[in-house]
Amino acid sequence: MIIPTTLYLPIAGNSVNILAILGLGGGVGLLSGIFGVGGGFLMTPLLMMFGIPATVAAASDSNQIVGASTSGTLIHLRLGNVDVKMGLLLLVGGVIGGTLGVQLIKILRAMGNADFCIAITYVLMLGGVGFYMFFESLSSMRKAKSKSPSKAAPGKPSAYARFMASLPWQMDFPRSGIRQSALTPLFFGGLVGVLSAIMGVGGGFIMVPVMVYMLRMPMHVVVGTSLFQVLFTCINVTIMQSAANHTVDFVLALLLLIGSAVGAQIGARLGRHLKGDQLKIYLSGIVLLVMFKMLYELLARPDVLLAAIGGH
Amino acid sequence: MRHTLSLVLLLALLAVTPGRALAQSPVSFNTSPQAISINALYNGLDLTVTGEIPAASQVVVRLAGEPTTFTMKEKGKVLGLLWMNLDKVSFGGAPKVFLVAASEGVPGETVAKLGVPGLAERITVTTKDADKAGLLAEFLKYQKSEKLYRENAGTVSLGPDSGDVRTFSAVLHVPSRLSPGAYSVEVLAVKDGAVVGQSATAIAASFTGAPAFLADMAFGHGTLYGILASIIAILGGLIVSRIFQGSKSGAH
Repeated sequence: MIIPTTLYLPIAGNSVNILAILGLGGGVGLLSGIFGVGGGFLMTPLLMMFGIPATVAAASDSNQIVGASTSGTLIHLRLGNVDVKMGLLLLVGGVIGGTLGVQLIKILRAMGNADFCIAITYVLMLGGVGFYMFFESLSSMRKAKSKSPSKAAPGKPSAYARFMASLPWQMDFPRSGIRQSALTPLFFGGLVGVLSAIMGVGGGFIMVPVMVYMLRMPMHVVVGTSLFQVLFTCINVTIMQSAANHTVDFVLALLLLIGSAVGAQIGARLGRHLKGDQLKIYLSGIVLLVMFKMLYELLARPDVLLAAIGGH
Repeated sequence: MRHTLSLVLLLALLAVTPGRALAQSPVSFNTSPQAISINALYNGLDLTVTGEIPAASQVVVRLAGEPTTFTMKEKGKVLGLLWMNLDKVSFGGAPKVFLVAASEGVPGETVAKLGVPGLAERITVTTKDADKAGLLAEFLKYQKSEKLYRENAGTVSLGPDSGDVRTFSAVLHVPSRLSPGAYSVEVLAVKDGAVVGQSATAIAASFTGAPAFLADMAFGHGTLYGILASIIAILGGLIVSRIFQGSKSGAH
């Protein structure tokens, strides 16, 4: 008996190699588990390389992230790495921001500048986040090497920290070991929501640096909380895309899910053996790689001077 | 009903395309399979076309989809630096799929006339851009890169003359990226560079089995499909999580 290696995907309108899609899911799932990012910014372009239309790739990827982040969130919950309180506040902000972002993109499309804005936002965000994380992690790794492991002396709080402390509705987030105003996660959740609606991704790769640098959460709690938030965002996207655009290919999502859920489990365990700074420097490397790829696509002459409508 | 109408229109269009058809000689053929079933394991197929053409003639076999309008975005430079999608451009009367295979001995210019260059003459371009010819060339390049428009899309062999006729057998490689709809297989007998006989038959491609069920759900009941897709994804994640928990029993 011959086991078939190809499968026809009715929504994508093409057949794919099952093993290649499983492998792709596994690779991206591994990164998702280690860094707590959904992987949408990596998976969508990779799926397009396999002949999947951009809109189907993005929507089906959201569907598979639902499964992968369920698996990832569970393992992080068991490890005590999910700050549910913080996650819920970020989620509320994210939903409000996402709704605003969808309206903003409608206005930009009407003005005819949406594609340009999306590409530029991608390059600027990825570049800014990637370079900042890279150099920040590098300098803290150097400091850790040159100094003795004794704790740094508490210095004068920064202007940012003083401003944060002055905001109303201060509350404790015991899981993260921090005290913040409820407004802070609502604001940053909203900001990421706007950006992820414009960019058409879950926003994990922006949310992770926001949690680390703006909310000052410990890295391992960041990863679990990000996955928790991504789970709900992607359920929303899957249902909205299925209802409005019919672009979710469930079979493709299921294949990716099998690969990525396994990858995410391995990734979550692997992540525990890496130090926070190492995690950040690896993630910044991936973010910068994608940024350079997008920048190259903006600058180099395309092979064909036409594009199918629907991609982002 | 809609498919039947499409097939009639498609055949009518193809009947007028070969250009200077001379006094027509009989051409007859059969296809195998007679319909394309896109099931879960569909990965393209070899369509066999066998039949008879007039003696001493060569043959060109084509598979064409329904003419449709493709609306795309033109890419251009912004600020003299960045390549972006700019204005919309429409290509009318372009089939979704166009495959051509010719037997040895058909002159190159005849193959071109009956193939993609000939098709290009019938495609209309609607754009604000003045360079319509350039955009049409890009469109053909795009369709070829997607393997939807192909010359030399298969093999054709001719039998010896037997009285007034000779047999032929062709195998067309139908791509995996095929959408359901009406297609037409056309056989053109060519002699001294001119079409001396032709015949066409309709062939339908349709979803069967799992793809039919999924497409019906996705396009007919989108919200329910989205909710089910999310629930199954969550269950999938839970199952994997449980499997890993089992394999790590007592690890932490």
